[in-house]
Amino acid sequence: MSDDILLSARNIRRDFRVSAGFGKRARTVSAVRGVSLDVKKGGVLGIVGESGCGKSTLAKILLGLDEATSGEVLFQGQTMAGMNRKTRARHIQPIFQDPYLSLNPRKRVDTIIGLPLRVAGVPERDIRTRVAEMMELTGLPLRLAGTFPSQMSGGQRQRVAIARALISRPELVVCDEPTSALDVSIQAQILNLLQDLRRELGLTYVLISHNLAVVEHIATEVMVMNHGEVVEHRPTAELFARPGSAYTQMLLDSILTPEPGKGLPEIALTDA
Amino acid sequence: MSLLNVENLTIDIAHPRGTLHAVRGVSFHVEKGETLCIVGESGCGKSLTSHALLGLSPRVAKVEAGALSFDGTDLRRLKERQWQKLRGLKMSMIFQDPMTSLNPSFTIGSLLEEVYMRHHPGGRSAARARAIEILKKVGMSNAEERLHQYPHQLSGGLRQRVMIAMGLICGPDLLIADEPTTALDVNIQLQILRLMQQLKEEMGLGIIFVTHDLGLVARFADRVAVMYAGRIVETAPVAELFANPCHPYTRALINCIPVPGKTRPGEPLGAIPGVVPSLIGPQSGCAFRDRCAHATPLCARALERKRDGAAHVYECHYTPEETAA
Repeated sequence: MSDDILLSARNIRRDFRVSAGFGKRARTVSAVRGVSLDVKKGGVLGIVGESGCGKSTLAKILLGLDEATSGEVLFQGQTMAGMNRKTRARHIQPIFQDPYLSLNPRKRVDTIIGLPLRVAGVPERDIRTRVAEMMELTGLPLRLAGTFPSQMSGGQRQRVAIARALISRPELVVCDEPTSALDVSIQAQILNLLQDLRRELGLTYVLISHNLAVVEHIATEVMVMNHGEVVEHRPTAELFARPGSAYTQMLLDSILTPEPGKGLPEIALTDA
Repeated sequence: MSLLNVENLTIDIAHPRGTLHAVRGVSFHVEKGETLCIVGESGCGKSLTSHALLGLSPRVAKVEAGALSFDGTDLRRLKERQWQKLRGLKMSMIFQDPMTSLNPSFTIGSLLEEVYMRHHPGGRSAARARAIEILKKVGMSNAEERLHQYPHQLSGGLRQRVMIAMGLICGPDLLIADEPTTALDVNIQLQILRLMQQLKEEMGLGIIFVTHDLGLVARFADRVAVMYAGRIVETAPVAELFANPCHPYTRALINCIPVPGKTRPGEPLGAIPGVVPSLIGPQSGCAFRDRCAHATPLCARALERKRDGAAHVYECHYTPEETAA
């Protein structure tokens, strides 16, 4: 195992038992079907695909929030299966899609951001200074420390989520659609922030998104998923220049770039 | 005469800390067979505006307009009974979320037939025939079977098609769509857009499409109105707007979106600093001034409307040359 691989997944499979109705045998639905991947240290792996392709299930497994039916996740070459939650949380942190749902509405902002440190047993005085540092780093005015999430805008809330994810200095951050609930001007702010933080703190990201333009902008490598399987996994520039499959081509063609006069893209549509 | 003509529409909402001026003097028009895209970010008043056109404003909202006419009818004078005759028949609306805007306890068939029978006296069988016809039109395979299904049995894309079918079953002249494709996959979004475009061409449907997606606007609109903080800050034919954006907000908005092949990967995007201003209490001057790099004291005092060609209007004291970065 080479040193520059931070996280790898080997043959991940996740099956769900789905009831087919009263008196019928339950069916098995495979959300993720044998996915393997390597995340390079300092890189950004973009995972793209349509809804239901298994990208969020995969993210949960990488984060340890869900267990794979078979296969294993290795962090720095060590299996994560036996790792306890606190250790795992020190290395890997999530940023979720909806900052309206992912923050506890009854806690103040400084409490939310400091929680990972409190869980790790860091003394309260240190927590306060590091929360202040983190707020500054993520562009949150300190006067917001005592406010509740409901008093903040969507962009500010997502900054809180980012500050909370980064305060324990994880090596890897798994971002599941970090900007799709935000307005475009705020999306640009958050994407710029994620890029700056990656450079400053030497972070590695797994970025899950259905927005290919965002992925092209941020990711160093892209993995395309469809029906729980990997369609292709290549460096970003290469994939966008020469897509290796009809499915990827279809995804690329369907990006609505702001070019008036081109009209709606001419692609073969599948029946939904 | 325009299909729809709106002049100086204002919507005020009472708020504990003063009046919230959500829409502050908006004027626009839509012609037959034309797509007007209203683009703007959350809270700019685009949804309130589109709902007001159908008389669907929330009860707390105070709606006023200098003119609000549809196909020769003055909408300001309509009683609820008259609105009900108009809605669904002459103008209809497609809402953002097909998951929550279809009644889960009715079959697709009864949802569609109800809309038709409300406006057309006559039996259920005529309504049923029309429902099947419209489902085929919106590209649903085996329409007869779909009639007996419930909304939860359909995927998001199919549900949105049912919404469109409900909107179109009486053959309206104007369709108002409030972010109808934001919850959908790209592939399904394209199908819905193509369908609307086709209906526009075949039936001369006028479309108002409310969205925050500039890429979609560029590919789908005939004309665009950019809204910010309750006002239309710029309006122009689509090609003109993207080739020659005049308002600093429009330009900033265009620079915010990553475009494969255009923006350099990894480079900072042109984010707009700050947040949208509060619209509670008296407003004056340009609402964008606090986030605008070119603002001067003049911008706090007054608004100025400028024209750049016949159909291109923007609200800024300065010309694009003066505000170029």
